[in-house]
Amino acid sequence: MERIIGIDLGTTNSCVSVVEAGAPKVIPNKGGYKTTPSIVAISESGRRLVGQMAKRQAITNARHTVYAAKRLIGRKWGSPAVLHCQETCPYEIVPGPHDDVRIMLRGKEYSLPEISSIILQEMKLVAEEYLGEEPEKAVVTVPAYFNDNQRQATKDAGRIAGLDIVRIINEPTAAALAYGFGKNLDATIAVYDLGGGTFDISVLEISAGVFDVISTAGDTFLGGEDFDARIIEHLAYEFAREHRVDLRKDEMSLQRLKDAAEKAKIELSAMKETEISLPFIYTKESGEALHLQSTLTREKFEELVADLVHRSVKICQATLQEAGLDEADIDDVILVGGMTRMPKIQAAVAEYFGKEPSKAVHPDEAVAIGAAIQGMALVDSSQDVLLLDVTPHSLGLMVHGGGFERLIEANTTIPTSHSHNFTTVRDNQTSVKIVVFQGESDKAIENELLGEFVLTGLRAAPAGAVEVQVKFNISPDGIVSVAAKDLETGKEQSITVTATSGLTEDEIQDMIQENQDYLVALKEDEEIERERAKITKLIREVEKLVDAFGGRNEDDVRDACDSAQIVVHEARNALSSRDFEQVAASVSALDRAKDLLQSLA
Amino acid sequence: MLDDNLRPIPQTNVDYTSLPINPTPEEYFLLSRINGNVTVGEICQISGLSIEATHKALARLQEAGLIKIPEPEKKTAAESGMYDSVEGVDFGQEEVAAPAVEEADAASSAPSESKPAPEHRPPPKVEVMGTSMLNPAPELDVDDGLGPAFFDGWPVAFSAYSFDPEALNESVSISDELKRYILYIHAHIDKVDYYKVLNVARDAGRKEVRASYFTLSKIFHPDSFYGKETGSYSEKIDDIFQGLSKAHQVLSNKNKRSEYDATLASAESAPSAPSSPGATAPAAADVAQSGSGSSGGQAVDKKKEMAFGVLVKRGEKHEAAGEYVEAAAEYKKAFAIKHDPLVALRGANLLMRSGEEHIDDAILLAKAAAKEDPSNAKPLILIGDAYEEKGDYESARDYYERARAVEPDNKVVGRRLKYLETAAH
Repeated sequence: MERIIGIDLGTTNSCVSVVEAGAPKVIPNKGGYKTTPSIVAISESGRRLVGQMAKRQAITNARHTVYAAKRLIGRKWGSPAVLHCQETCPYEIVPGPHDDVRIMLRGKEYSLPEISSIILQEMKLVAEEYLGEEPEKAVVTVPAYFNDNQRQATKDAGRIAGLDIVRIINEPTAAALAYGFGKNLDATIAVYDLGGGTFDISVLEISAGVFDVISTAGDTFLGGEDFDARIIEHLAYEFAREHRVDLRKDEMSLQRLKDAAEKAKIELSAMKETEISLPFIYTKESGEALHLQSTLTREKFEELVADLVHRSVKICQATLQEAGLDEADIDDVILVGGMTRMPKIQAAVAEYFGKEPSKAVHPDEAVAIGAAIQGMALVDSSQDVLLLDVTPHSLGLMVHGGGFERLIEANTTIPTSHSHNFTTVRDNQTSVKIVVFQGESDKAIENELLGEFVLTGLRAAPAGAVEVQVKFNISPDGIVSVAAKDLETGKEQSITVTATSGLTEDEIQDMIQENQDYLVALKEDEEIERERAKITKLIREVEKLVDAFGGRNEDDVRDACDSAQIVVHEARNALSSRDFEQVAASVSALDRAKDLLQSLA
Repeated sequence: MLDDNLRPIPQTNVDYTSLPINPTPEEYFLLSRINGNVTVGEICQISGLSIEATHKALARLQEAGLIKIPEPEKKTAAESGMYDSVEGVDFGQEEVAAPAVEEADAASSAPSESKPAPEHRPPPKVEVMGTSMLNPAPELDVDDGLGPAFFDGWPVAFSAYSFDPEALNESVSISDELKRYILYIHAHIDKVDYYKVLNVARDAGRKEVRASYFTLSKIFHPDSFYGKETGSYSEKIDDIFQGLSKAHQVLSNKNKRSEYDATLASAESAPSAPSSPGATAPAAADVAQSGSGSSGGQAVDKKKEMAFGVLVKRGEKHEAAGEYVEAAAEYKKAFAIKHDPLVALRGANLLMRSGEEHIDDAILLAKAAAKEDPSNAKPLILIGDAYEEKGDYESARDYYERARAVEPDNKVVGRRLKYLETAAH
């Protein structure tokens, strides 16, 4: 049976899992870690760096290191989230051709799906090394509160990475799968998922292998990054008061602050206070070096983030209300996401739900495990697992006066669809424009614009005579599609999407090609790299042998040493060559020289 | 040759380990369709075998002691409650409601071991088949998903439904019996109430509703067909699943359910309601009463009038605030207390403006209004509009015709009818 891997594409960390013989397993990366930082960097030489490698060089290469790309994916240029990132991120965010967002790295613009595709590819590689074969299909998770644009962009990322994303599922739902899989549960549970960038809360009923999401809500801009930002602000403010210098204006200082903030946050989950020491954080124009030395207590940290914690609890309240449930109806609360390690959050959740949250699932791994379980459930019909998820946002149209007419309500079980009839209002009208939004506001423009669809090629007829039925579909991935048909002729009507922040098919194809080219070049580079390593080693060996002949003056020895030195000289030049043939030739020349010298010794 | 009118009876407590002859898979398949209620003639039609082969198979089943074919002179009971049943392994308990079956010992009935994986044609597992066939549990087991009781009260009996042969012959990876289920349910799911959709009693609790929804979802969720060739069935499967989740959404929500019950009750008291078998109407009325609380019930007329007024006022308040669905709910409750056609029509109008998921409710309410005041064309036009919106042009035409009968000069009706005619070519 084909294997479908599960990938948790997180804001700060990603994780991959696969089900083997009915048991889900989290696959560690080369470094032995079960999660990989969702960080992508482009090195000076144009090499892509991913994960731990990218994280390590972030301080010195801040401008070309992208972290938390998930906070930008599927967003529109000029949206509050993007403005926020522009202010706080050291990398350069530029507008794309469709009102979308691009990131400028080493003079090249990258779309967000491309950045995510690099991470997906890395996760695919992690799985490939473990499985011994290239996984082709994956279930990828997204925050439950992701809208259509964000989901679509995530799917695009999969295509660019050469990974068939067979299903997108919601992170809290995935965590619930990990929690309930293999147990014969009959329970109502809440999943509180506070990750690196997003917050989700989902309420599910689990029974007879069916995982039914009753209601879900969240905030796609509330996560660990925001907690870090509060510490950064606090430190930067203290520092500014003392030294009149805003550290956040300096890329490298900011990156160091960011690192220290994350570390302090993690430490404060276990300790009551932590030391933050950043020597030489800033050098004044006068040449005077400044150092940051500070102590942060857990109490102070909790004070800094109190409103964030409160915000999440508020959303929990709203969700339960929407589900028509009381806190007492919840049998178990599951905590997911690294941020839920924070004692204050555990306490807030316990207080709100009136019970200690369950620690039955691993906060960093549960989501990937759930994704792998869903992947298995799709292909293995002997598995008695069925996921019934919901759409997190209402889908509707802009109507006269800018109002928002809901066609599909939030928390409707997906897949679902809705048909709506449109009539022409003018004689010989040949096209109809439909503007589709997703959101909860009664004013259309306050919601997320999904796209403008133009029905074209309508029959020329008197006003009102042409009636077109438009069917809005929400797939099991939570992705919206639109189809139209002329009611009288029954003919499928063509629809053109005219306004969407998503990538065009051409762009995606280009990106796929570019990615392929990069991978081919990378493979060549790696081969050259291996040869170069051989050269370095051989040069050392040859030089040692020549040195060992130091005093000897026989002709053959002298000749051999001379020619060896010429070979070494050429090999040194070859080290900087990008021509594989030249590099390989040097390796064999060195080999021969070494053999000759050894035979004379 | 056997008489076509005979109704073979499945036998209970047969020791499957020592049958005198071993039936073939085809014969076991036939056995699964025998519930004591289908006639030999019907079995021949549905067996997929030639008449001769079917008779032979029946004879062998009798020889094996698995069925009993009664003597020819015995005349059978009413035609009602007749349904076809599909393979017992998957769905089991077809014979639950079969009057001819001996009451089985519930305690000895082991639960069916088979999983609800209807897309696979089950292997002829003797024990499983036997358990399922011969020890009918008195209640529908959740694990078995679909049973004959499922279609109790549906507009057309499963066995009487004429399946589209083209669809049945379509080469897809769906078993024959599941194809039939899909075609049958898809054709009728919009015509039966939510309780029938989920096959639960009107007084079923939230858990029962959920259990049934979950069981059916496992069969009809598109994911159950993942990676399988489903052809033209794929859209039908989507529709069925959506029908199931819509029904569940309403019946699992206290408020939505009591509203729904009220409309159901008022619609069912109207003779025009399409799927109101007399037997279920009183039950619905009871539910409606408990749903609308003490405001209705046995209260005196004055009290009723007051409650009616309060509800209408509340509705108006919602309406003014643009909360149409809430307003309609109040009007519905008001109508349940006093059958004022205007208040029902008002509610129906609002529901029509509140999106597709409310169309069915709008229809029910408008039907109630039409029943109260048959001389008014407005509710009829509204029903026509609603059916048109739903794409059920046949029903739409019916109601427009009825509206025309009431008000022959109505221009809107004339235009709609003309349009529907052209649309139908």
